[in-house]
Amino acid sequence: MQLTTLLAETLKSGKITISQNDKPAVEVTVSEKKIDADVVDKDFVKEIVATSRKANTKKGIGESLRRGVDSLREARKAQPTIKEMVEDLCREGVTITLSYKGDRVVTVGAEANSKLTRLVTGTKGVEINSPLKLAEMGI
Amino acid sequence: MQQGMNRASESMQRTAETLGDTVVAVLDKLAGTQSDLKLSFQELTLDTGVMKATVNGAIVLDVVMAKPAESTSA
Repeated sequence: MQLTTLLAETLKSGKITISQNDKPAVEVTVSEKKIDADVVDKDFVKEIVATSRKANTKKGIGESLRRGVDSLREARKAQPTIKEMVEDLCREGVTITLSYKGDRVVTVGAEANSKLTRLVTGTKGVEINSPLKLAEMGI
Repeated sequence: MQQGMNRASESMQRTAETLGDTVVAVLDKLAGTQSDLKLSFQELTLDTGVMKATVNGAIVLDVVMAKPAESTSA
């Protein structure tokens, strides 16, 4: 069993609210085999995504180009891992969703059924419900 | 079987590394902006198979940037 599935299986029910400076940013609701992360403050997510992308950034044009090539190589390398992780979630009947102000943006796992994303990820376990909102969040 | 186990362990290692890098980057960012992060738990039920627990309450991560120590010359 993958780490993600194990974590999802351990969490049974309840709610986790992540706030920054007393301002709710993400609300995670857990119910039996379902985890929904509802983004309330999109700037918070945007900041985290941007920060994590910059985590390994080195300065200079040469370094930036090298980083671009490395990113592509990493993406290709990570594809089987992501596929494996998603298929494990499907097998165990676990669904993870990302929502923005209550509207579902991405579905990963058992409840996902995508034909379009399948061409990119190689698995039907990742469904982008709202590409516009996904882009809005900077993911 | 051995190959499968190796693949699973590699995948777990990669997930943990990515998670670690993200946490470090986020903490670094939080320290720079002098903001705090609060995790509030409401009736969060965990079941590891060995034990079951319900968590209520909050954890506040108040991250501040540490000042570099001044060097003193004798």
